[in-house]
Amino acid sequence: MSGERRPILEIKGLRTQFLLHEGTVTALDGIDLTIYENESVGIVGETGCGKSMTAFSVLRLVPPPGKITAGSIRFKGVELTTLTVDQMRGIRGKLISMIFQDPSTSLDPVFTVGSQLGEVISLHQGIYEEAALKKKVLQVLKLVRIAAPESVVRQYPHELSGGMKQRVMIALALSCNPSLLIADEPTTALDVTIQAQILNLLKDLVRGAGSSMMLITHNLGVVAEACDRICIMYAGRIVEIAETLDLFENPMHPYTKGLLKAFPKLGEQKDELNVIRGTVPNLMKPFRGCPFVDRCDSSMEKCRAFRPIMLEVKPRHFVSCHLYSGGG
Amino acid sequence: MRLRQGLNDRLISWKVSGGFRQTVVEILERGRRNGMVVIGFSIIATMIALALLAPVLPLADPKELNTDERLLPPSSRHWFGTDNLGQDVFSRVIWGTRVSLAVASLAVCFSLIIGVVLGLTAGYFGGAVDYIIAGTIDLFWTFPAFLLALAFAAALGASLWNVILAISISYWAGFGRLMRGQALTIRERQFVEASRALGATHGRIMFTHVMPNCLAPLIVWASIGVADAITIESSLSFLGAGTPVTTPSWGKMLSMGMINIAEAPWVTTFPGIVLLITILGFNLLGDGLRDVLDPRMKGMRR
Repeated sequence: MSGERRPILEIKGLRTQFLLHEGTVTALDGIDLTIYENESVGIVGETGCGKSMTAFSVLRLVPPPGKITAGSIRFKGVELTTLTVDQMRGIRGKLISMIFQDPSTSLDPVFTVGSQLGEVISLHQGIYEEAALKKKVLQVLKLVRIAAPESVVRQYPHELSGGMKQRVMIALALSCNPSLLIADEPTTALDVTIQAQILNLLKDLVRGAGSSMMLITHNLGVVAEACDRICIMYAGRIVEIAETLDLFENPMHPYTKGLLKAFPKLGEQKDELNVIRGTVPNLMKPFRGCPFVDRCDSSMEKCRAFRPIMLEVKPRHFVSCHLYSGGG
Repeated sequence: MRLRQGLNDRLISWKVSGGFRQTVVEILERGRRNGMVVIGFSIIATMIALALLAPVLPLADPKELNTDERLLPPSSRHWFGTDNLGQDVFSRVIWGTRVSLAVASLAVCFSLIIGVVLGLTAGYFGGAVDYIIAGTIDLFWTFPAFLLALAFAAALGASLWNVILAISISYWAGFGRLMRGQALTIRERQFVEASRALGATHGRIMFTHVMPNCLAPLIVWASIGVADAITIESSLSFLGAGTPVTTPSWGKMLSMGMINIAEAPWVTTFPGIVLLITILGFNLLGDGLRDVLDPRMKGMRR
């Protein structure tokens, strides 16, 4: 099915757990996800479903006591889970970069924008000469469409607006032309008009550079705008992966359906919003069946007993739900 | 090596930016408008000038004994009078400035280095490293700095370097605690995570991102620390555990003059006053800097 497309990131059976005194929290429970070259994949799910953990696992930055306990992450054919700390550090920022949610806290307040960009560039590209470094810094700032880069270089983060800071953050992340950009809720902390600008910028830059992007968000509108494929996560598992349009038109998993229904449509008169009843299951307790069973309207006997596996129900549309596993 | 490289880049990039210069100018400007800083700085500057100029100033030899001129009251020849060995008190006070300032600033430097490195390591890494280092810091912190310094100075013997060593060993815990606490808060900030995600090493993050963010309280503490160190040094000398007998030192002058305090109060009064003013100077500077370096005080008039 994906004959010509070359995978850049292949996650297989990834399991990330937090070993606490009270028990083990399984934050990611067998994630399978492939991101291809020149592709933007959106990861959508509610708070605590493991979206960010997936990103941190890829970068091997899972905060302790969290640990990747099983599975493999291959980046351009290289197994990341077994790399040494130093090898991994060489990959971060250079080949895989990450943008964080809140631009106002992702920049070091005591250094100017120029010196922070300069640090990353000299670290990964070995440019130490002042003039060359300055030129490169300005070039990167121009790339993210910052007006008056010459003055921004000399400014401190607190002197910039939220949108500007996020542009600087994007500049930092893209300064070394990474093959994969992970954007963890890059627009959540920004106001709506800026959100669209930043999204378009990200989309253009990632496409322009021929990179791939993993966009993490809880906002379906954001992924619809920026991503080729969408991956819906629930309670540490992926429940559905499909191409953007396909997913919006034919959602299959009951959770995805619920999510889409929960979105109010423009022009619709409604007193109450649609909600998905119930709450997220406790990740500390291992469950045998489908994690969504207690909130699902179409749950069956076997949903409780067996864990549904990921099936390609339609071309390039994967669902993990017993409704589609055949045989009733 | 890598760390040095990192600091070098940092210096280079500082040069690239003009915002840094502007920030320095702003801080200097705020300092100039702060009365405590101005007074404290003037006192310290005067003291440092006197200390540096002591060899060229037309002073009497501070170690010259003159049995004919014992315990003379202040006069035009001996501004602060003479002590029981006939030594010129004014000259000894000025030369004493050298000893006090040198010992105190070196001791604070060493304490700062030990405290910052250990506190930073503990706060940044946390876990078992933190447990061990924080325990050590607390162990030193529980002892009154002065008693500890006295014990070390007495054990090591009287020499300037031993006094510096004794003060450093007993005083670093304060910086360690401060640095650890700051590092604990800074390491949770997102830019630390962001730099990790961009491939920075622990050393780089610690020294080029965490430490610079804690600079303001460190500077304030260092300034007040010098005042403390001067007090400790004088007290040690006063008790005879500090500087060698022949070295002119304020603490020593106080203890020597005590015998004749009734007949010749000037022998103790003058070094005492100078000691007081110097300590006041460093404390004022420290307090003032706290206000000046606090960004929340920006634009505030006091």
